[in-house]
Amino acid sequence: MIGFLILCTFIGIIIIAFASVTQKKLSNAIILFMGVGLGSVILFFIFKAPDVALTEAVIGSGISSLIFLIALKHLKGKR
Amino acid sequence: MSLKRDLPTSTISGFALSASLILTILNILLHNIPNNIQTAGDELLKLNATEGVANAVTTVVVYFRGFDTLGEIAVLFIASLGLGLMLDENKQCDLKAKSNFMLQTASKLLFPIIMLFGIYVMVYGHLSPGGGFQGGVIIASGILLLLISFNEFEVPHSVVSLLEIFAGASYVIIGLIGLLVLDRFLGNFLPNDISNMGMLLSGGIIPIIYIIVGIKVGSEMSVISENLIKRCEDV
Amino acid sequence: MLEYIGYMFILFGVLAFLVSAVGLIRMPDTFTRIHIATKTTTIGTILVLIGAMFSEPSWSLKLALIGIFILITNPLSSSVIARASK
Repeated sequence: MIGFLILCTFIGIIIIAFASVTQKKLSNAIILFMGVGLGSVILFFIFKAPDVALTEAVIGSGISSLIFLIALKHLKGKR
Repeated sequence: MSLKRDLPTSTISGFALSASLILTILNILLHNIPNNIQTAGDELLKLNATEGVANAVTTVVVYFRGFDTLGEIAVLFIASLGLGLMLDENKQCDLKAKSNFMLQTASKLLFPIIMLFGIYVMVYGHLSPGGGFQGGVIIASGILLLLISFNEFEVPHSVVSLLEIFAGASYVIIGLIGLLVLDRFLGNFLPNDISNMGMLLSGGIIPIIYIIVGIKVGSEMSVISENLIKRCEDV
Repeated sequence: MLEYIGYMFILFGVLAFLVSAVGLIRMPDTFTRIHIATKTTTIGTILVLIGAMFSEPSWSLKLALIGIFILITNPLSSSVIARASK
């Protein structure tokens, strides 16, 4: 049962990562990147690393995507 | 629907390749896991019981690999410094992030909760999952919420620079005191009985160092986000 | 017995999440999507938390705090998204 859950999470992360790479709009790519972070949070938690899961949830899918979005807004002001 | 347009054939073939790879790896993982793999982490985890800290990861990160953590903090400081040098101080930038009454009220309500949670994660880093890095970034995200919702809000620079100087200096000073007392950098010179394991005041210098790391990371990340929101590029 | 009541609540919560996923595909417009996603995820999370309270009664206080936090933040985030997409 837990193996099936791990498998589903792996496949979901791969689908979201490919969708994030192939997006035309950069903001959509950043939102999907947050999804990759959330999937890896589930994986870290299942593999008994709650410290790494907390770090990934806060840094990987929280503040780094926000900083990416702000940087994207800076770039749009340039053009 | 639009899902077909967003997923071209190269994506699907790459997905199939990776899925077969993952299936093979998972088959190995789930069916024949060897029980006695000895890694470098196991040796460190055996040593964990001598320091009286309940969370073994904290002992490894802050104590056995404390010098690396000092280097990581220096890297974060250099990143913050580079961003502050790159963005122009005199040029105010308008990001057109409109805020409204609801966002302001709710951020007034949420900011103390976020700060409390960040301090909890920071102070209890040696007992439960979490620690300085995570707690500092949670505090910085609370300040980012205030920066987004109130246009006139500014991070108090004198306080933040004092905090950062204090944190960075006291990390090195604690390490040097350990060098004087116990003949190695970051020696655990405060009382750390194993009988106190699980209490808030246990583990000697390890919780103190993690709180210092949290203060430094929080101030640096909030300054980075303020620079990105308030200033424009020089060029 | 209490455990099975909890499982029933979790099942209803997961069904609410399923409704939310169907609605995200079905609805034509940004605002209708925000509408359905906010309401179903709020009630789904609350139901899952109530189910967890029934199965593990010693966690009740923390789960109630999480529920209050979600009741504050979820409508707020949907309001901000709706104003940004205007």
